Amino acid sequence: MTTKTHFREIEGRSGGYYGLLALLVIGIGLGIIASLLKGTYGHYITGMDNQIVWGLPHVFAIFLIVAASGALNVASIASVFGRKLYKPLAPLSGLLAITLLAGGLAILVLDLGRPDRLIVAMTYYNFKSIFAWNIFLYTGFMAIVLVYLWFLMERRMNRYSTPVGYVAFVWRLILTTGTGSIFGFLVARETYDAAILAPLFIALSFSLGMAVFILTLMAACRWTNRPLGDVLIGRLKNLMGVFVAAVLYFVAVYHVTNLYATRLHDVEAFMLLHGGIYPLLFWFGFILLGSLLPLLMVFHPAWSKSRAMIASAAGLVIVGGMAQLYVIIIGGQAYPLDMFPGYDVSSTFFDGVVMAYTPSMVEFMLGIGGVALAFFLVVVALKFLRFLPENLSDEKIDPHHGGTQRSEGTETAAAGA
Amino acid sequence: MPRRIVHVRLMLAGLLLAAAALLLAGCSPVEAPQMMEARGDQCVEPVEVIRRDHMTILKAEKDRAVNLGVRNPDHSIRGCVNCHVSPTASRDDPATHFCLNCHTFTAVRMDCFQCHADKPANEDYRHALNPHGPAHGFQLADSKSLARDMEAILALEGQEQ
Amino acid sequence: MSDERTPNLSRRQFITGAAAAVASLTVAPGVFLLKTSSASIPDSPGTKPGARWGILIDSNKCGDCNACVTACHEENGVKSLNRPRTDAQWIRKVEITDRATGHSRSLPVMCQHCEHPPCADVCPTGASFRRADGIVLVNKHTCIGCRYCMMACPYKARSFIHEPLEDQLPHAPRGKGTVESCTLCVHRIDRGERTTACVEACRKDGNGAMVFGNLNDPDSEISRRLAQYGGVAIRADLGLNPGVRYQGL
Repeated sequence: MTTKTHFREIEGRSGGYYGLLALLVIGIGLGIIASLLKGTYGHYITGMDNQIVWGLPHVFAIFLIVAASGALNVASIASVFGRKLYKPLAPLSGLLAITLLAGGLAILVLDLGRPDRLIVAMTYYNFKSIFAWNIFLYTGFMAIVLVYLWFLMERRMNRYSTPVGYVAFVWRLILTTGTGSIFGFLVARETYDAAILAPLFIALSFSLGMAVFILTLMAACRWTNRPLGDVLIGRLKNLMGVFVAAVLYFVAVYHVTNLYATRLHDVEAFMLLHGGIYPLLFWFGFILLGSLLPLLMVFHPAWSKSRAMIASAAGLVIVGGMAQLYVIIIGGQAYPLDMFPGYDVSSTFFDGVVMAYTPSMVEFMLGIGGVALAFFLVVVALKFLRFLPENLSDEKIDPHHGGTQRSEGTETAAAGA
Repeated sequence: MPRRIVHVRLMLAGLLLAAAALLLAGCSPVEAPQMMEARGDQCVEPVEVIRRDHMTILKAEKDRAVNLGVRNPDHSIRGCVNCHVSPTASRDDPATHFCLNCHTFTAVRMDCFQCHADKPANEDYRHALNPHGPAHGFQLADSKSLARDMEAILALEGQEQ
Repeated sequence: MSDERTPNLSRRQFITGAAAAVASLTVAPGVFLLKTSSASIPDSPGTKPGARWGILIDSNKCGDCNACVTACHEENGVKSLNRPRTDAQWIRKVEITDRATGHSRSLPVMCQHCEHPPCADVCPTGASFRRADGIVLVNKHTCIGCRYCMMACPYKARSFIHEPLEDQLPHAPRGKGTVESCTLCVHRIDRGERTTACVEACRKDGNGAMVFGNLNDPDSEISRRLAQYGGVAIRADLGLNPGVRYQGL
C-alpha cells in the first residue's frame, strides 16, 4: 500500500500571497471597469463592429472554457483510467476546471449586448441553438465537478468518486464538442462549416488544459515550498506533448480537407498565405511557437529535464492556443462572406472586403478580468480548502505501486483528514 | 472568543440599530412627485386595474404583438406614452414624463425606453377613431402618409376588380 | 375561400383609418377625437392566415439610385452616426461585377426572410424567429445581444446596436445591445398596408425594380411575375428558401 497523500491548505499569510491576491483583484477590477464602460457607451467603444461581431473577449472566453474542460483531464486520468499517480492531483484539477469555466463564462456574459438580461438567457430556450445547449452543458459541468470534488474530499463519499468521475469525463467531452460546434455548425461561413472543429476543440482543450494545469501546479508548489517530484512533472509534460501533437494532427486534417475543395482555395490562401496577421499568427504563433517549439522542449532528452524549460513550454502552448483561437474566431469573420460566387462585390456595408480588426483596450481589460477571476478563485480556494497535497516528491508518489481500485478510497480519504 | 470583545460587538450592533431606528423615525411621510396630467379624459382600463396590472397587460400585449402581429393599441406602450407623456418631454424633467417619474419614485427599474420611443411622435396627438388604421399615434395629420393610405386603398380597389 | 375575407377586412380598415385621418385634419387643433369605450376596440387581426410576404427585385431595372435605402432608414428611424463600422444598415446597395465578363450591376440586399432562417436556429433565447406570415424578426424583449445570429446569417443582413439610442420612432423600437434587421415594415403590414417603405420608394423615386406581395397567393403580382420570369435566391445552395427573390442575377 502506498503512503497516504496528505492535503493541506496553503498558509496564505505571506506578502507574496497577498501581493498575488492584490494583483488578481486589480485584474478583476479592470474587467469590471471594462464591462461598466461597455454598459454605458455600448459596444461602440470596442474594436468589434457589424462585421467582426465576436472579438478578443471571445478569444479569451473560449480559451478559458476550453482550458477548463481540459484541466479536468488529470482528475479523469486518475478516476476513469485508474492511474493512481495522478490521484493526488485530482482535487486541484477539478478546482481549475470550475474556476476557469467561471472566468470564461463571466467574460461571455459581460460581453453580451444586454448582460442585465442574463435571467432571460436562463428562462427562454431555443433548443435548436447550440448556445442554448451550451448553457446547460456549462452549468451542468460546474455542478458535476462540484459534486465530484465533494466526493473526492469528503471521506465518507470517497467510494462514489469514481462513477462521478466517469460522468464528469463524458460530460466534458460533450461540452467541448458543444463549444467546437458553436463554429462547426455555422453553414454560412467557409472557415467554420466543418464537423472536424469539434474534435479539434477537444484536442485543443486537452493541450491547453494541461498547460494551464502544469503552470498552476508548479507555481503553487514552488510558492508554498512543497516538494514536486520529477516523475509527476515528467508524466504531465509528456502528456502535454502528446496533446499538442494531436492538435497539430487535427489542424492538418482540417486544412488539407479544405485545400482539396477548389471552392475553399481562396479562403485557405487567406488564412495560410496572404491574410496579413492571420497567417502570421497561424504559422509563427501557433505552429512554431505554440506547437513545434514546445514539442522540442518537452521531448528533448536534455532540455526536458529542466523545470524552467517545461514551464516555458507550457507557457508557449498557451500562447499558441490563444493565437490559434484568434485565427479561428476573428480570421473566420474577417474573411468576407461569399454571397455572390464568381462576382466582385462592394457596398457601404463592407461586402467583399477583408475586415480589419483592432482589439481595443476595453476588450483586453475584459479578457484579463476573466483570467484574473479564474485564478483569484483558485488562490482563495487553496487557502481555505485542502486542494493541494503537502508532498508530491518522487518518494511519496510511487508509480511502481500499481494499487487496485479499492485502495482509492483510503488514499483520497486523507483529503478530508 | 474573549468575553469582552463579544460585549463590544453587541454594543456596536445595538448602537447601529438605534441609529437606524432614529433615522427612520425622522423621516416625514413621503410626498408623491408631481405628475403630469394625462391628456385623455379616461384611461383604457379602470384606474385600479391599470395601477396594479399595467405591467401584466403590457407584457401580454408585447408577446401577442411581436409574435402574432395581434395588436391592441389600447394595451400597447405606445398607448401609454401617447396619453401620459408630453410630446416635449425630457428625461431631465420628470414632471413631463409620467412613466419615468412614477418608476423613479417607486424605485422600480424598467428598460422599456431603452428601445421604445419615450414620447409621442406627434405634438398634435389625438386618439384615432380607428386605432388600427394608419392614423394611429403618429403621422396623424401627415399629408404624406394620408396620400399613401389613399393610394394603397385605390390599389387594393383596383386589384379586386 | 376563407382567405378571401382578410383582404376585405384590411381594406375596410384602410378606409376607416383614412377616414379618421381625414376627420382629424378637419377638426380644429386641440380638439381631441377620443373614443368613448375601450371595450369596443377589437384587436388587429394578426398575421394573415396562409400568407408569406416577400419581395421580388429585378436587378436589371435597379440602377445607381439609393431610394430604397434612404426610405427604409427614414421609415424606421435608422440614423447614421458617421461611424461606418458600427452604423446599422437594414438594407444596402451591393455592386456586383462578374469576374469573367466584367458585367456589373447593383441590387439592394436586406434580410431575406428565409423559410429556414439560420439566425432563428442559432438564437439561444428564441428571440430571432419567423412569424407565421414568413417575416423574420428579432424579439427585442428577449434578445440578449450575443450576436450569434450575425455569425450565422449568410447575407450579413443584421446589425448590432453599438450605442445608446434616443428619439426612436414609436413604431420601430430599437435600442442598445440588441440585434436588428429589416422587419419587412411589419408595422405597415400589421395595419393592413400591402407595401414596404423600400418598395414604395423604388416605385416612386427609383426604377420600379421591386415588388412586394404574398408569395403564397398565385394571383398576386409577385407570384405572377415569379411564375412568368422566374427569380433566384442569393445563396440558393444553402436551401434556406428566402422570401426575397432576384431577377437578372
